This record gives sequence, C-alpha cells and structure tokens, in this order.
Amino acid sequence: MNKNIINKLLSLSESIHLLYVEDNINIRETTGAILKRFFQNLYIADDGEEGLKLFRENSIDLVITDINMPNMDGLQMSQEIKKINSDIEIIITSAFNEEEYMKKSQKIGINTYLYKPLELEQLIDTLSKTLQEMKEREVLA
Amino acid sequence: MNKFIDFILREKRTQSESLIKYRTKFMNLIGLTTAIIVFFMSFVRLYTEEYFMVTINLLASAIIFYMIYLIKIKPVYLKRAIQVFVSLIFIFSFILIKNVHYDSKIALPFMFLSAAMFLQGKKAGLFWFIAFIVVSFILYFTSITDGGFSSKTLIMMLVFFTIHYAILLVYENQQNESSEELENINKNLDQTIKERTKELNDQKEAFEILYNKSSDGVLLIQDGKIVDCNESVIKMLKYNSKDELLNKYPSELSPKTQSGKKDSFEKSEAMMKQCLQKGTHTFEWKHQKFDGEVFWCDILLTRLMLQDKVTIHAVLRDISERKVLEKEIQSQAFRLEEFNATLEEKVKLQVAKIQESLDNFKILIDSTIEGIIVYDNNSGVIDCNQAGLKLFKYTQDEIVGKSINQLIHKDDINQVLSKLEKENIAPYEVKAIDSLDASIPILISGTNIHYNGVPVQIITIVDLSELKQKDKLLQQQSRHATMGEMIGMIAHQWRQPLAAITGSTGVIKLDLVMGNYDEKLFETQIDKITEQTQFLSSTIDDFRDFFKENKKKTYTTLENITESALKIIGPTLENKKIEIIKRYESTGELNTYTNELKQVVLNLLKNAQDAMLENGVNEPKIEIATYSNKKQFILEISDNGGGIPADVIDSIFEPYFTTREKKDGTGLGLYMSKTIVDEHCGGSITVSNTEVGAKFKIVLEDNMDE
Repeated sequence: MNKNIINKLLSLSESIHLLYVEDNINIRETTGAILKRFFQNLYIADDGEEGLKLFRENSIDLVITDINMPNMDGLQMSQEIKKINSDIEIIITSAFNEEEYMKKSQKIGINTYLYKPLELEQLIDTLSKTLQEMKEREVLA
Repeated sequence: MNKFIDFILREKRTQSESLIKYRTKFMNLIGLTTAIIVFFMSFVRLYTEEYFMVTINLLASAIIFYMIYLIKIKPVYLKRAIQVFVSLIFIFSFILIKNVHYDSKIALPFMFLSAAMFLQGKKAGLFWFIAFIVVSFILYFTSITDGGFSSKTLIMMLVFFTIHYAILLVYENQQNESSEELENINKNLDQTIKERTKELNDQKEAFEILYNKSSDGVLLIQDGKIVDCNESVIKMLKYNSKDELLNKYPSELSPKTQSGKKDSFEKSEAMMKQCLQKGTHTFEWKHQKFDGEVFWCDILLTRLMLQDKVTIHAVLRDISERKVLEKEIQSQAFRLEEFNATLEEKVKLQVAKIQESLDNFKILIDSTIEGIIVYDNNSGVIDCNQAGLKLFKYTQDEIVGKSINQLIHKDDINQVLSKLEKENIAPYEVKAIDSLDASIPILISGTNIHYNGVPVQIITIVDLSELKQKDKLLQQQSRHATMGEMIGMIAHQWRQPLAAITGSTGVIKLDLVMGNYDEKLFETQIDKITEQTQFLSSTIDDFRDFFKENKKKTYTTLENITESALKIIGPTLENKKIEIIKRYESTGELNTYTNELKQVVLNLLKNAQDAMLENGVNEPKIEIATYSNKKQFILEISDNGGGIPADVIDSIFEPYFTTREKKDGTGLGLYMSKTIVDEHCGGSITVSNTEVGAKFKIVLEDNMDE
C-alpha cells in the first residue's frame, strides 16, 4: 500500500456522492470511518429502507450496500434504486457463502462485490476501479 | 311227519305179524298133535286086529286135519291142499267101493263134516256137529248097518268131533281176538293218519305259501340238479320262468368262482355233500343273476326225503345289502386301520418333528446371539448357551453353579436381584462382569418358569458392547455432522466481528498511511478490536462447551439448555430472518446429560430452520416452549415450516433417514436425538404436525432423586 493509490482514489472520489448501507453497527462505524476519509459526501443508512429514502432525497452517484438487513435487504433496495436510475453503480458487500444473493444481484445488474470482512486494500482497489470506469463513461458520454 | 307215519305203520305191522306167527305155531302144534293122535290110534286099531280100512281111514283123516290147518292159516298153500284133498277123496271113494266096511262108510261123511266144519267156521261147524250127532244116533238106533254100528265107534267119533269142534272154537276165538286187535290198530292208524294228513295238509299249505311267496328263494335239488324252485328264486336271479332253472346245477347260477377263487361247481358240490352228511348246512354264496350281476346270498341247505328220493332243500337269501354294509364296515374298519396306521405314522412323524424341532431349538438356543442362562436362586447357574458362555468368557463347567453376584457388576446387582423376582420387566441395561473381571454393557431380562416343579429363571442377556460401539460411532458421526453445521454457524457468527475488526484495522492502517495520527481514534479502534476478539473468544468457548463430552449428569434447567443452543444457532437464525418466540415456563432443575440435550435442541432448531427455508415460508417462526409439572420437564419446539409429510412422519427417527435433498442432511440428527433422549436421558421425543408446521416434544422425567 502506498500513498499514490490513496491519492489517486482521493482524486477520483472528490466529487462523488456515496450511499453506504450496513445494518451491523461495528462494521458500519469502522467501514464508515474509512469511507469518510475518501468521500466528502457520504450518506450512511442502517437498513435498505433508510438507504432508499436517502437515495431519493439526495443525488447519489455510488451505492455500497450489505445484503442481509432488516426491513429491506440490500437486493430489494438495489432493485428500487435501479428503477429510479438504472445507470447507478452499486457495490455489494457480501460473505463468500452468500453466493445465492450474488446470483440474484447479477440479475439486477450488479457486478461489483466487496467480500467481507472488508480489507482496506480490497476496498481501495475496488473503489478506484469503479470510480475510474464511471469517469471514463462520463467522458464518453 | 311221513317218517313218523312210516314208523307207526311199521310198528303196528310187526306187532300183528309177530302175533300171527305165534298163532300159526300154536295151530300147527294142535293140528300136528291131532294128526299124531289119529295116526297113533290107527296103529292101535291095526295092532288090535281091527279093520285095516278103519286104520287107513283114520290115517287119512289125520292128514286132512293137518292139511286143513295149513289151508286155514297159510292160504298160499290152498291150491296144493285142494289138490291133495281131491286126490284123497278119490282114494277114499276107491276104498269105499272095494271094501264095504261099515265103519268106513260112516267115516266118509265124518271126514266131510269135519272138513266142512273147519272150512266154514264155527257156525257151520256147530250145524254139522249137531247134524253128525243126529245122524249117528239115527244110525245107532235103526241098526241099518251090516256089522252093526258099534256104540264104541259112535262114541269115539263123537269124542273126536267134540274135540275138533272145541279146537275150532278155540281157534276161531283166537282168530277173532287178533283180528279185533288188528282192527283197533288199524282204527288208530286211520285216526293218526287222518290227523297227520290234516296236519300235513296244513303244513303243506304253509309250506307252499312259504315256498312260493317267501322272499327267500327256495330250490329243491336232487342229484345235484335243481328239480323245483319258487318264484322268489326266479325273481332273485332275474330269470323269466321256472323252466330256465330246472335241471341246472346250482353252480350254473353262480359266477365261475367264489371268494377265494374257488371253483363254484366244486365248492357247491362240497357244500351239498356237507348238507347230506350233517342234515343241514349254512354258508354264504355268490350267485349270478341272468344279467350277469353277482350278488351274495345266505344259503341254508336241508336234507329231506321227497318221494323216496334224497332231496336238498335250499333256501337263498339275498344279502347284497348286508354285504354292502359289511363291506362298508370292513372298508371303514380298513379306513380306521389305515387311519390308525397313518395316525401312528403321523405320531412318529410328529415325534420326529418334535425331536427335530428340539434339535433345532438346541441349535437355535446355541446359535442365538442372545445369551440364555437358566438360573436357580439356590444352586446358581444351571445351564448357559454358547452365546452366554462367549459373553462371560466361561466354559460350561465353569459357569454352572455361579451366583448372579459373580456375573453382574456390583453397581447393578441390587437392581438385577430385585427385578429378577418380578414378572414382565422390560429388558434393562446393566453391566456384566466376565471371567477376566472386565465390565460388559448388557441388556438383561428375566422370566420365571417352573422346571420340574422347581421355580427357575430364564435370564436373557444381550451383549451391548458392539451395539454400544456402533452407537458410539453413530454418535460420533452425528457429532461430526453437527460440528460441520456448527462451523457454518460459527462462521456466520464470526463474520460480523471479523468484519468489524478488519474495518478497525483498515481505518488505522489508512490513517497511518495518510499520516493522520489521531491517538484517540486509534485507541477507540483498538478497544473495538479487543471487544470483538473477546466476543470471538466467547463464541469459541460456547462451541467448545458444546462439544465437551460430559459423560456425567449435571443439574440444569431447560432454559439453560435452550439458550446454550441458541447462542450457537441464534445468529444464523437471525440472519435467516427467522423469528424466535420463547416461552420459558419450566421451573426447577433437572439432573441430566446437559450437553447431549443441547445438541438435541440445536439439531431441532437447525431442522426447523432448514425446513422453513426450503419451503420458502413467509415470516418463519420458531416457538420454543418449556414447562414442567411435578414429575416431568417438557420442551416443545414448533415451527411454521409446513409440517412433516404423513407418509414419513413415522420414520423420521430412523437412522439415515433424511428428507433433505441437499448434502447437509446426514440422516442421523433425529436418530441421535432420539437415542439421546430415550436411552441416555430416559425420556421421550415425539413429533406431531400442527396446523402450520411440525412440533417436536421432549419429555424428561424428573429423576433428581437418583
């Protein structure tokens, strides 16, 4: 890990509005703390319902969500979000043993995963790639 | 009857014949005597120089007298006598003409008179006698004779005449008497004959009725051939008329052979011969009808005289029916015999079978995997089968006489002793002690029986070592399966704390790289990490506790058991959004194998979870209820997973039974649960379906006293 990667991500994430949805408080707080370092505009919700609400109320560019959550799970929420904006990038955090959910998520149009427990390098790498792709798409558009 | 008449007649005849014989002799004697006297007198005359002619005269008269007697009595000589008489008349006539002697003239009528007198009977004789006297007196008084009719001569004649007449009278009298007697005899005879004839007629009539109308056939046989028969015979033999039967041999009316393959003709001859010798003879005979049918007859042969011929009177009685009966009886007797024979055979067979089954039984007893001991309280072990010997590692000789105390572990001996005396005790588990002093888990049960009047116990023993071993293996298998499942559960449980820890390290690392040295943040994150690791540690402890093999019973509560299980599976259930409803109403502690029961509860919860997830139940719920009464602790776990199909609900406790299609079903969970609850903990586990799902019920006895 070096500073360049971090700086690169920082440059990409500067203007991005991120929604992070996680029901587990410990994960939410620690992961939230990391994300806060990169995203000035970070919205954090503790379940799908709240996440959807925040998405509707704010202009969100990127969503990171857990799957297994009370009230509304990550997949249901993603489905709703895709209805609102089918182009929105959604990253799912999941455990290795939750393959069923992953298959479902692919149907919705989600292809990016972050495996729990979230390691810093993995998180930075995945976010960098995703944001890079988003930027390139914007330029093309 | 005829014979009798014959006899009477013969008797009478002989009687009269002997009488006549006797009289003839008598008359002959008189006749002869008279003749001799007359003859003698003629010689006297000759000697006294009387007239020669007179002498001849007298001589002739003597001969005549004799002849007359003969004539009178023996008529057969009549012809000859008449000839003699005629010739004598000629002789006298010649003498009369040539020699005219007066006396001789007198003698002539005298001769005739005498002859007439005898010939004509006493009446004529009397007449002639009187006539002679009259003529003699006339002659005497008129003296018409030449030389004079001497009075001497006259008297002499008179005397002779009188004697003759007397003889005649006597003779006549006797003649009458004998004829009277004969008449009487004849009369009697007539009477008898009349009576007999009447009797005979009656009998004849009766006989004829019998003969013709009798249902018995009657044959008359002469010289071996049939001479007569009645209607019954014709009917019996199915002939058309009597003529067809006459002149036939009885054997011609019979089949060729009789029973015993004897020739009918020879046998019939033999039978008739016997009849002729004995008078009667009875026997059974096979006759043959005209149409060929053979039937059995009772034959009675009687010998009798018919028209002076020896006749056999044969009576035939059809005994076919009787024979049929006899045959039936015989065949029944035969069948009975046969039956007896088969019975005997059957008995033999049965005995053999019994022997065989006894042998089989012995083999069975010896080949059974159960040890069987015949035990008597006083003399100890009486007998033991192979399995028993193998179990206890004794020889037959060593084990005989051993007390139960030497065979059962001292911990269990009191239980065994008290239960052996009772009847109908379900097999129970104890430890046996073998010859090497090793302890063997056994299942034991006893039955009291009377053996030769002595009460003995049949103790059945099953070696549980192997079963225990298998049980252990199964248990291990099950534990391993459970462990695998639990690792999954733990992984789930650890995912969050691990994620949290990773998150914390991530933050610290990021700040370190970026040069943000915020001590407070570092401290907070490190505290969080420590907190999470402690959680992880406690989870591991739970897991270890769970699998701690605790072979001793401990005091616990149902709530404790349930909560321990939930600690392991709870996060998983939560993660699967399964609602847990707890209703803990049980109070008090129970002494049981806690860890094993935790496994059971965990298994039931896992099953409920799987069932609900598999069936895609909305709002899955597991309700855990505990309650207790004086004697029992009850734990119910019910779900709304749709229940167990009726066709498998009875077999879900069987080993290797699984409804799960996926790899995670070992099929041992419920089997092991049942083993633990039923056998280890002495309780029971049952399942039933509720309206919405399955309900497992564990009932544990309150056995804290033990």
